[in-house]
Amino acid sequence: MLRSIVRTLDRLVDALTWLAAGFALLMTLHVTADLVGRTFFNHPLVGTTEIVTAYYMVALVFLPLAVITRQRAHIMVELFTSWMARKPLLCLDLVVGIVSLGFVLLVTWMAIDTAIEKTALREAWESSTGYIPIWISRWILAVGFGLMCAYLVLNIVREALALRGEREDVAK
Amino acid sequence: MTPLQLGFGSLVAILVLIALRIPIGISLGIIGLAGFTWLRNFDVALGVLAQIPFEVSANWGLTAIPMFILMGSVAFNSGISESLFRAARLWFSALPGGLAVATNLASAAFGAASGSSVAAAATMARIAIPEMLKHNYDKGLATGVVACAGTLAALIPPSIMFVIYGVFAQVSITKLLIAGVLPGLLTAGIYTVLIVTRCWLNPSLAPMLSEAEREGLKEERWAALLPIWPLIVLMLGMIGGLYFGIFTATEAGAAGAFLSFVVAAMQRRLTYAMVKASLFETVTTTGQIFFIAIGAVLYTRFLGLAGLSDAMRELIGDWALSPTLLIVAASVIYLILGMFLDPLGILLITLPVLQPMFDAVHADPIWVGVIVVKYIEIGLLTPPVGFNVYMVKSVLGDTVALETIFRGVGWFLAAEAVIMVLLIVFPSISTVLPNAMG
Repeated sequence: MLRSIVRTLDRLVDALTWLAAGFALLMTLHVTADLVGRTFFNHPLVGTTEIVTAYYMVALVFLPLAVITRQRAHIMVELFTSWMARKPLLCLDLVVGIVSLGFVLLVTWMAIDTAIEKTALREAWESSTGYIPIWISRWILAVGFGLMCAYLVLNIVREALALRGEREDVAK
Repeated sequence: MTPLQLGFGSLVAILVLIALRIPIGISLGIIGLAGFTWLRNFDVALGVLAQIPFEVSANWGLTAIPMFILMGSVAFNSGISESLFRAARLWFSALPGGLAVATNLASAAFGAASGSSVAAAATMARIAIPEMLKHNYDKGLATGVVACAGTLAALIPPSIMFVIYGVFAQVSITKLLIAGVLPGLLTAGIYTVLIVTRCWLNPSLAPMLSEAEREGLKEERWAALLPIWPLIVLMLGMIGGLYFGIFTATEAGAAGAFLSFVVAAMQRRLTYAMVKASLFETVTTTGQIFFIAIGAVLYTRFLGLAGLSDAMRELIGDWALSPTLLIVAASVIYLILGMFLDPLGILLITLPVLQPMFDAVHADPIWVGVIVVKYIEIGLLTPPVGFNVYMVKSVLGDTVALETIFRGVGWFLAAEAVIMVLLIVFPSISTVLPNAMG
């Protein structure tokens, strides 16, 4: 049961990372095309700034958060705790995981709240030729932070299991 | 509590959380949130939390970051560094310590395609160190030069650090990128002098090539330039285009990344694996950087609400310091933090505290930016936590001890002391080019 949930999550997050990678490529091509159009043909692509900032950037920043959490690759400092033994370190990681989860849950809650609000308003930015809808990208934050929470929970469960295993080893 | 007490108290709290292995972005975010709750209430804190993540990501200034990362990843994964090192070796290895000089200059050139020092150190560690060790170079020199010359990537455009500094300190990113050119070249030049002098005085550090070997180099020299000319065009195009205001930093990054793909295709290096690795590296690094930036903005807004900048300005006004004296004082802070913290963390934590002080003494923000980025790069080299040194070590495995690399870096740190004095005493090294842009 748990294993199949993890597998589904992993696939989903892999797919979203591919999506973010696709956006990185698209952003490169879009900005280059805009630059070429403006410089050589006096004809920039309309709405480049809005689409780059509100869509590509938002996807690039929030979609990979879950995969970074899965790889435990969020930037942190290990120097001051490198002297600790395995077991206290596991305990500390468990506490750090719970604290991180608490914070990211708040962020996720606010992201969902904002997404619902902006969807109801049909949030849009004004560009030179009309309005570009932005509310859709508000949901990218909710998805990104939400999946980050899921992997924080998984990491906590794994640490708790490792800690229990450690204790049983001592008992034997 | 006074603004100063709040500011410094929160700074200490953040450092404690970071030391307890809480990811830097979360440490900053938690204290920011706690600060808003303390000064106003929890609802206000949640309101800020709802606003900031989107605001930070959807910021035009910061869009240059993923593009610079992609450009560097493509250069890294397409093996351009091998061609660079080969060309530099053919041209410079007749000098005393010639392979080390070649490594230094190839790193500088790689810096013109990459905005990240750690990536530059990683790529040169794989290519140049085995070559130097094969020629019986001193291990400290061979590894030290790679770790140190990697930092040139953050000075020579593109540079991720300058983009972040520019956005947070509200200084023109284009001007900052141009300002990095001369300090970058100065650093590469002084490194070269250091290597040549050391190896000339003590030839056992780097055995000279035989007469016959030196003759052999000459024949291949011109041919070796063939695979690197696209990079040279890219470099001159980027600096020229930024200087003359033809494109913005983001556009320079996007076009640079696009052209790097084209060059890789021309040299038959554009493979599926290479494209996938470059794009995945780009998205994960972007996520890591922005996660910290979001926390930092939360924290910065809290400091703003607490009135820290006005308090700092008043404090400095009382002391009537000169900009130079303030920079020297800031140096101490950067050197200490650089020993422990990651570069982005240092930049984002110190900026809201120090920037109002620099404003108060009317220091040129471009000059301050160059000095700050230089210090942050030096932090990548200083023990106990020097990220570039760790990177070199992780590439080499057990062949060279960590202490040996730090010992090799020591000589270059002495050179950095000279470079910093020059940059602080002569601000025009940093400001002459951007000021000429008009």
